[in-house]
Amino acid sequence: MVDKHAISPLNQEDKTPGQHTEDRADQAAISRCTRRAFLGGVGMAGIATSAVPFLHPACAEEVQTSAAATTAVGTPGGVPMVLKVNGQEHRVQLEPRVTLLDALREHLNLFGTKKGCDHGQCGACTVHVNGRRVNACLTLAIMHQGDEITTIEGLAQHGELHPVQAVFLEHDGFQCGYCTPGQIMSAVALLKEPCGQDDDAVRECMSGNICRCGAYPNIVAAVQAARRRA
Amino acid sequence: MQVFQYNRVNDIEGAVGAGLATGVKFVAGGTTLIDLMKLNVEQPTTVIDINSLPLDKLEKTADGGLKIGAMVRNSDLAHDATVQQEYPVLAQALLSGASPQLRNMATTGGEPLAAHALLLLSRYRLSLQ
Repeated sequence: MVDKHAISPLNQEDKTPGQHTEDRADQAAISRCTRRAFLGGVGMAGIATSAVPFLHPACAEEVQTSAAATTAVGTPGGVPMVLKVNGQEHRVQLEPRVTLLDALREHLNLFGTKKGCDHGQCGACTVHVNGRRVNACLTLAIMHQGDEITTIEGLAQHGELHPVQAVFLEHDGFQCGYCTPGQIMSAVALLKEPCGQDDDAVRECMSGNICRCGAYPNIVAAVQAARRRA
Repeated sequence: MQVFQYNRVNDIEGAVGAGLATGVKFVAGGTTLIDLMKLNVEQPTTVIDINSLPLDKLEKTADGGLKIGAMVRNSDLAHDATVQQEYPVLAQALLSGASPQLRNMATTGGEPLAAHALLLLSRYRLSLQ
């Protein structure tokens, strides 16, 4: 018969003060590490092993990957091309059938732009091409050589959030957050587009971005706040 | 999506010549073509990018009409002052379709081609049922 106390979470947390200090250091390490790097590290190490010793190598690996993104990334059958994303030129070698969305996420390690429906209906993949918002899932990367591509990663400048990012935080314009990069990219573009003043007009202008959580009232409030400040 | 050859053309003569070959599709906005290529409804062997063609102008004609370039984007057409004032039904129709992102991509010339492609899609869906 299994002793219930032996597997109790409370029992596992019963540690000495010294261990608590180490835990806080580990927590700090966790907060510095991204979810993606953490999961990648755990996946390589195997689920049966303790995750904590692998946190630091996982973070280190992510830094190396980010640095590598600026150099040539090769794919069999690929065509050399240069993509200018958030002001930085990336030399990549991609098949012509690679969409701009997949190029950003799978080859440039810019995971902020999300893949939702992959058919231009949900808006999660919204990016700016030469200042205009488009669905990155319905255009090919090879079609955008020489274009200025801006993703959610390119909005914040010098450690300061873009004003639209700030108002989304202030107004709680999200729940799960998956659609949020697309919503924000649309909202930033909307500030320069012809759009009526009232909430109904904002809903229409934001209709290319679906939020499955239904955070629409707060998204509209955030967009209106951004327009008042613009 | 099937593998294809990608070419970009800069002049109309070049585009017409390239379009004579079999298995060729032109891509402008791509909002319908790429969608259908993902579903393998469209399987071109060559895709010709015509985004550089000089067909992105709106011009008033001598007889009082409006000449719309094939590469004029739906959003540009819908928000054009002349279209808003003299052809409000056209502006309203454009703004009632798709989304702002798709209208920024989709072109006037692509609309009739998209209509044909959507006919193909409906056949594809029927074949699945």
